[in-house]
Amino acid sequence: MVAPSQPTSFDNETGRYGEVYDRGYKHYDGERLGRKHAFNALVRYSMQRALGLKKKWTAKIVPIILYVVVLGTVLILIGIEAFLPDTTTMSYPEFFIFIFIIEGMFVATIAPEMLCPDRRENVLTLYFSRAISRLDYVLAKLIATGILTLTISLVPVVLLWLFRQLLADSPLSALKDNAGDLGKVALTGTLIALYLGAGGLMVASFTSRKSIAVPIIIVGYGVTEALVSAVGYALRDQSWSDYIFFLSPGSLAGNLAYSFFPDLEVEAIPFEWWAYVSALAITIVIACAVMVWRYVPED
Amino acid sequence: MTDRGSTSTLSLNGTLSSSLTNGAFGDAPAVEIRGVRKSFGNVVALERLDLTIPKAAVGLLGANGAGKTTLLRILLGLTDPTEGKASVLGYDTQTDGVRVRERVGYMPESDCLPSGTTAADFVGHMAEMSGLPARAARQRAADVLYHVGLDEERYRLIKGFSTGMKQRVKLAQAIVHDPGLVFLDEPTNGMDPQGRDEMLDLIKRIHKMLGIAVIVSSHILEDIERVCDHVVILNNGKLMLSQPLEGIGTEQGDLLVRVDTRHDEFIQRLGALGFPATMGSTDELHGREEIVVRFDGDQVYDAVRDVAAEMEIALRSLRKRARSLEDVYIGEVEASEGGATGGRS
Amino acid sequence: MKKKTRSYASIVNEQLQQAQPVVSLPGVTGGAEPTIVVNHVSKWFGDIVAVSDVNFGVVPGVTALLGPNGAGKSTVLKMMSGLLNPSSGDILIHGKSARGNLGTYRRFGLVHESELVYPFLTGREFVRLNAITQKMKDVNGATERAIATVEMASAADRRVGGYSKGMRQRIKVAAALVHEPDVLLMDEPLNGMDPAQRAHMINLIRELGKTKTILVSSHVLAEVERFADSIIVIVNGKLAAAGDYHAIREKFDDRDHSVRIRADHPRWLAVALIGHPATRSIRVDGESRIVAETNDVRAFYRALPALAKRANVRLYEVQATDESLQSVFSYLVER
Repeated sequence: MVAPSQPTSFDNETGRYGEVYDRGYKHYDGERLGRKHAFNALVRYSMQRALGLKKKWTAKIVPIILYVVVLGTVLILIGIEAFLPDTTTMSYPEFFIFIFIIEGMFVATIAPEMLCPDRRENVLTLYFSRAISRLDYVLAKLIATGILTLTISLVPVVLLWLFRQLLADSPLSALKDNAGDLGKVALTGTLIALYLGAGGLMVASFTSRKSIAVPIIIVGYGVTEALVSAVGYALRDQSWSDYIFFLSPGSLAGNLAYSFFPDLEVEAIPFEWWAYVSALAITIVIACAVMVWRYVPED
Repeated sequence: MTDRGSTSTLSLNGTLSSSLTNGAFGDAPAVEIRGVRKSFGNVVALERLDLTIPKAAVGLLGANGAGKTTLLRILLGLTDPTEGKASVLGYDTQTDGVRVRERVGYMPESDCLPSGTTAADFVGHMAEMSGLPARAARQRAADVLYHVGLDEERYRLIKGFSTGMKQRVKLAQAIVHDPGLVFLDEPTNGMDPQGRDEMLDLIKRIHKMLGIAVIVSSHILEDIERVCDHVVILNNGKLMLSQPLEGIGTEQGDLLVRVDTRHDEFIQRLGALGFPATMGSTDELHGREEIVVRFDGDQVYDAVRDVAAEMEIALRSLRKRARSLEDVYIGEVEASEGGATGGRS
Repeated sequence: MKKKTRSYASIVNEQLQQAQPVVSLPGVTGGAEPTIVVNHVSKWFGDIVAVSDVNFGVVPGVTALLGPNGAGKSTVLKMMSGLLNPSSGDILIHGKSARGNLGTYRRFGLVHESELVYPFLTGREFVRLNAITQKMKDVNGATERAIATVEMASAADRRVGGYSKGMRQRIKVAAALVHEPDVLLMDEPLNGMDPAQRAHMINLIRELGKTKTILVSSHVLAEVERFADSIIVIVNGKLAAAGDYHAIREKFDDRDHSVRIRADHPRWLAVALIGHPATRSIRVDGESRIVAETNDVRAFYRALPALAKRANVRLYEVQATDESLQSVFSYLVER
């Protein structure tokens, strides 16, 4: 506690005392938390804006619907499994295929929001004049997108797993025995989240207009799927036709999921799980590299 | 917080009551540039620049393409010089770019505000982006926006703002984190006469009352003359001049006198006393009708006064003719280009 | 010695000259013929009244159109340029109504703020295009002359898209001049120009003002002071003032004039001045200056030298501080 100095406004003659406390702009003497705080602030802010928080309700509606759909599905599945114990509901791979589609829509909504307005309204100029580097900006956006996409593809499936174990006859041993499954679904969920997220961001980094980025993301995935399926089918007799499906996002994700649960597969999955993991990981890295290339060099 | 009383709050009469005002703003320069050269392939934007910019209100002048923008980007650590070093507030721009930007504010010339947020939200976010904790950031943002002249508008979306309001928001985000130095690029752009007046006043206050060093890049010399006390002129990537404004152009100049009537008699009487005078040409003097009296020493002031007193005519204005900043600028630019200034940029 | 008699005519002329000038229309003094007349013009957009019964004339020479943003000035300029029709009232050009008669705008050159739409043309091509559309006989000659007037000859072969803002402005001025119009309407013509270009353009405007009618809209009043012969001020959709700004200043007789004086013994001078009835107040401004307020400018300036002499004070500088256009303008827009 600092000892108070002689108050300057003590009037010795009249013995009266008064003080003026706030007369305008003051200097800032508080803490300065530096680059780390700036980085975290950007991540937080980006997540908020992407979800439409602090904006009018139309910006929030799509994310809200998607969350409701995903969580609602989980609850319905659990509900069915709880009350009708012998019915087969969705297997994990089937669930992932469903999640993949939801995630695709989610990314198409949030990725453009992450990047396009900053570019379009030239706010990048201001960001780059602050206590971060250009690379920080890219990383923050990737992390923000990653966190959000994980909430769609990782969290629900983990919850599903958890509830299923709790519904088992002896939950504690179920938790232990099926921990391997947890690892598999977590890995799959994570990779899907990062794959779609980075991919969406990469597309969004090429344009300053959300109205272009959104359709391109959607159409991009859809067209790639269709093309690859068509070409893959046409060339199915070739020995190397299976490799074509590495280019299809949906197939990659689906095959990865099935490769972890071989008993459920309908058709033989051509490759081992690690092949799919690698393919997804490599694509993620490439998408990040493209992002860095778009933002980091000085213009 | 308020028992800090001494160092940085404003006292009653509005002057900075701390050691900041004694000895101006400290002796360390705001910016040091040593041997900086910047080229983009074959194009040389800056040629071996050696310059020290004091912590003052500095005007940065130069044609488009003279290197001002490049210099600014180097000083903000956004690009590295091809050769040489620069430091801002003691931090090297190449190795400590982030630290520089923590302590520096930038008001860009171009549009750069997002339309979908409120002014308060955005400026608060920018404050956090310079390292302020969240709560302090919100508080500072609200305060600073108020001080630049936005009352309840600061809680409205930037979308609906006029040019003048947007310029104020740009200024606010540049000073919200209480930087030691602020770069202002064409701060009065697009504003109407009142807005320009207020903006220039704001800038002057930011500097004089708060001790924030200011570097203003502007094409409007009257603005620079009003706000700055030091001026730097660049041309073709080279430094032309860097000196205090007060010294500029006040070398020997004639006296310019305006009276309301009986000009010829006035001139004649002055001549008779040994002070030659003539009627000035209106073109040169921007349309004013002034009598030019040769200046040979301070006695001429008294002669003018006494003749006017004797004649009982009105002494409407009296000033020393000085080369204006414009004359100096054009002189420097023409000297370096050896002739016409047109056509380059 | 023959006594010189004066003719009756000369006596009448002298009387007329000493009388107050006749103002027939705001902005038009004496018997001058206005080139453009804005005749009781109003403009509304739905419920919003942008311009309300504005009435003034523009005579040959350089007139500045001033006003706060969003207060009707741009709307007035657009209507005078033929880009917008008045909701009521009329624009007269050389006495003839311009409504529906686009031919009257042939003699106009417009320099307006919107970006050029042909960035892929070179400067020369852009000016030439205008010369052609204006059906000039000597297209090449006119183009070269216009380019030379704005000193863009060395950059004329580069594409407009690559020009800096200041260069774009200059080429726009060239394009507006190529058909040798006798009326030029310019909206922020100095925008983006560097100090040397500004000085040059100001001189150009003054030169052109000697033979043409020029209306310039600008926010930089210190520059307007240098090229404008008279001003038109639009505030809140109405005409606030018109004419020479010094004379306008005089009309604010409820406002004391402010005079800054630098002297060797400013306080002695202050003592001497405060004793004079024309002085309303004195303020000390730094070590060597005082600022005096007076409501009787003539008397004040007349008394100043004698008072200074008697007090043995040397006067270094005497300057009115609120007679600039900036001050006049701020008085006009105050509520």
